[in-house]
Amino acid sequence: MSLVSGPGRGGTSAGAVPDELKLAVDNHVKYIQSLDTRQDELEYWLTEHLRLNGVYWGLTALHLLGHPEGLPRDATIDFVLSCQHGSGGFGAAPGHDAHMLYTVSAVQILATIDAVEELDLRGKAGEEQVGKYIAGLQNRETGSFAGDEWGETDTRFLFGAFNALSLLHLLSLIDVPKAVAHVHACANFDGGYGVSPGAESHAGQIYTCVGALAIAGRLDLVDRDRLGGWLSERQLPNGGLNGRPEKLEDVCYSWWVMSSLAMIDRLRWIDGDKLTQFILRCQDREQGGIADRPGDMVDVFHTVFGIAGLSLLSFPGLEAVDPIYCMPKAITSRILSK
Amino acid sequence: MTPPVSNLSNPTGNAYAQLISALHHSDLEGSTILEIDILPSSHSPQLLYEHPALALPKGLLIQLYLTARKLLFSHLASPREETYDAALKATSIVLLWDPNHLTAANFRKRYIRSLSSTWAENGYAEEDGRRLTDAVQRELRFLDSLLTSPLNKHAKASTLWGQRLWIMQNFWAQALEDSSSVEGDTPNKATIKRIMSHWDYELSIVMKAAERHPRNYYAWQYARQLLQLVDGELSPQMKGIRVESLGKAHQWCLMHPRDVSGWGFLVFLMASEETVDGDSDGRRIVRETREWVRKYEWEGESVEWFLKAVGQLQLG
Repeated sequence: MSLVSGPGRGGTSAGAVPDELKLAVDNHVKYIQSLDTRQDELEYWLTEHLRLNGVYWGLTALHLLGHPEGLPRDATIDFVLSCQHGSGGFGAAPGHDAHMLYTVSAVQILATIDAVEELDLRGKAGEEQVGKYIAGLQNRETGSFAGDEWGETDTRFLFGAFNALSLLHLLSLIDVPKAVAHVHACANFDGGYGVSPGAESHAGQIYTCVGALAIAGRLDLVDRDRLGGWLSERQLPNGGLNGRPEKLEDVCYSWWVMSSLAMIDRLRWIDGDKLTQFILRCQDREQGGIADRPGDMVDVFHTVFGIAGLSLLSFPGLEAVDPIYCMPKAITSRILSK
Repeated sequence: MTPPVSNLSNPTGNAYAQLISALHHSDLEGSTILEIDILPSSHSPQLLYEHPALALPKGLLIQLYLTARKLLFSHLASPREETYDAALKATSIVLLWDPNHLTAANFRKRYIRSLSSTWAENGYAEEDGRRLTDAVQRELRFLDSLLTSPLNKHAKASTLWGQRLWIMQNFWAQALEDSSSVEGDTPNKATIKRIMSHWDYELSIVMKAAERHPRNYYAWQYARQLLQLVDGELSPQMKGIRVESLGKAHQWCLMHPRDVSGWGFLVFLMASEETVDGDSDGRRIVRETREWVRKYEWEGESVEWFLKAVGQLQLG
C-alpha cells in the first residue's frame, strides 16, 4: 500500500442529494487496490511515514467490504516483515525507525490474514520478541506507555499495546492493572478521556481509553451515561460527527465516536440514519474512496473509518466490525477464543 | 556540504542548497524565527527568501523533499562519516515537508544526544558544552519556525511537540541557555527570572501555534507537560508563574471563545492547588466569563463546557 490519498473527490453528487444512496462497493475496492500500483507516482514517497498504517487501513476496509482477497497475501506479508527491526518493533516502511504505532499495525495486518506465525518462521524477530518490544515501552511506575525509546507518552500507545498483545496472547508481559489505573486517571468530569491526566476529552483518545478498558475487562470503570451524553453531543445538524466541541464534522469520527458508543452499549444515542447518509455523501462514487467531508479529496484513512462506521450502523452488505479492534469481528472472535 | 547536483543547468540543485541555507540561517543571524509559506504549485519554481520570510511552491518543495529523503535514507542504509552532515541537514527539509516524519526527527535527537555524550566523555569541557547548547538552541528555533508558520499541519504535529518536550526534559539547562551549568543540574540552578521568561516564551509559542491551528490538542498538551516538568522543582515560585499565566490564558480564551483546548488549559491552571488555594483569581475569572457570556449573549459549546468544568472545581 503505497498511496494514501487522492485523486478522487467525495460528494460528486453535491447539491440535491437523494435519500437512498448506495455504497459504491466495487469502486471502493478498486480504489484501495489501485493505491499499491501508483509506485511511480510521487505520492508513493510522500506518505512514507505512515505506509504500514496505510496497509492496515486498506486491508481492513477490503475485508469489511467483503473482498478479503483484494490484496495479494504473500506480497503483504513480505512488505510487513521488511519493516521489522531486530528489536521486534516495526517501522512505517523499510528503513524507518521502529515505533508502537507501526508495530500495532503490523500485528493487526498479520492477524487479519492469519500470518502471525510468519514472525517465527521468517521475521527478524519472533512473536515473543515483538511482545517484549511492546512490553518494554511500559512505564512500570505510572502504567502508561511510550511510543518508542524517546519517551513520548500517549494513551494511543497504551491502547496499541493492549490491542497487539491481546491478539498475540501476550498480555501477561505487561502490568495490566497499572495500565488500567492510568487510563482511569485520564477520565474527565464530562465522562470523556484525554491523552493524559488533566487533558481535555477528545473522541479519538476516548476510543483508545475505552478500548483498553474493554480489553482488560474493566468497562465497569466507565461512567457510561455521562460519556454517552458527551459522545452524543458530537452529532451535528448535517448528521456528521465531530471529535470535540465546536469542531467540524469528519467522517473518521464515525469510527472513534461510534465504536466508543458501541463498547458502552449506547449506539442508539446517535441518529444512525442521519449519520449513514452523511457517510454516504462523503463517497466518491465514481472513482472510489471516502473523504473527511463531502467535496474533499478521498484517502484510505477516511475510507476505512467511514466503512467501519457504516458496519457498526449495520449497513447492509458489510462484514461486522469489532468495535474494540477495528478489525472484522469474525477474525477477532476466532483469534481471541483460542 | 554540497547538494547532490549543483550546476547552473540544474535549478533544483541550486534551490536545494538555498533552502538548506535558509533553514540554517539562524546560525548566523541569531535566534529569529522564520515565517515559512508553502505556495500553490502554480507559482514559478523558485525559493523566495527575505529573512525572516521564506516561501516556495509546493511542487518545488516536493522535489527538494525527494532529494532530501534520498540523502537521509542512503546514509541510514550505510552510515559513513562523510555523508553524516548532509543527512542531518536533509532532515530539516524532510520535516518541512512532513512534520510527522519520525525517522527524521529521531535523527536530530540522536545528533543532540551524541554531542551530550561527547561533552561528558571530554570531562565537560567548555567547548563541547557550548557546542551542545548551540545545537539545542538551533533545534528550538527550528521547531519555533515550523510550529508557528502558516503551514498546513505543522502547528499540531505530535512529533514536533514531542521533540520539543524531549529537549526540555533532557536538556533543560541548555534550553535556558545556561552554558555554565554542569549536566545533572536541576532546574533550580537557573535563576527564577530566567525560568519565568523562558516559560513566557514557551507559552507564546503555544499560543501562536494554537492560532495557526485552532483547538490544537498537542500544543496545549505540551504547555501542561512543560508546566508539570518544572512543578516539583519550583513550588514556591510556581504560584507566580501560574497566577500570571491565568490572566494571559483567560485573555486568549476570550479572544478565541470557540477553542475548547484553550479553555481546557485554563481549567488545568485553575485546578492546580496553588490557584485554588484562597483563589480570588479563579473566582474573578469565572465571574468575568459569566459577565462576558451575558454581554454577548454567547451560546457556544466551549464556553459552556468551561463553566461546567470550573463548577466542578467549586469556583462558582
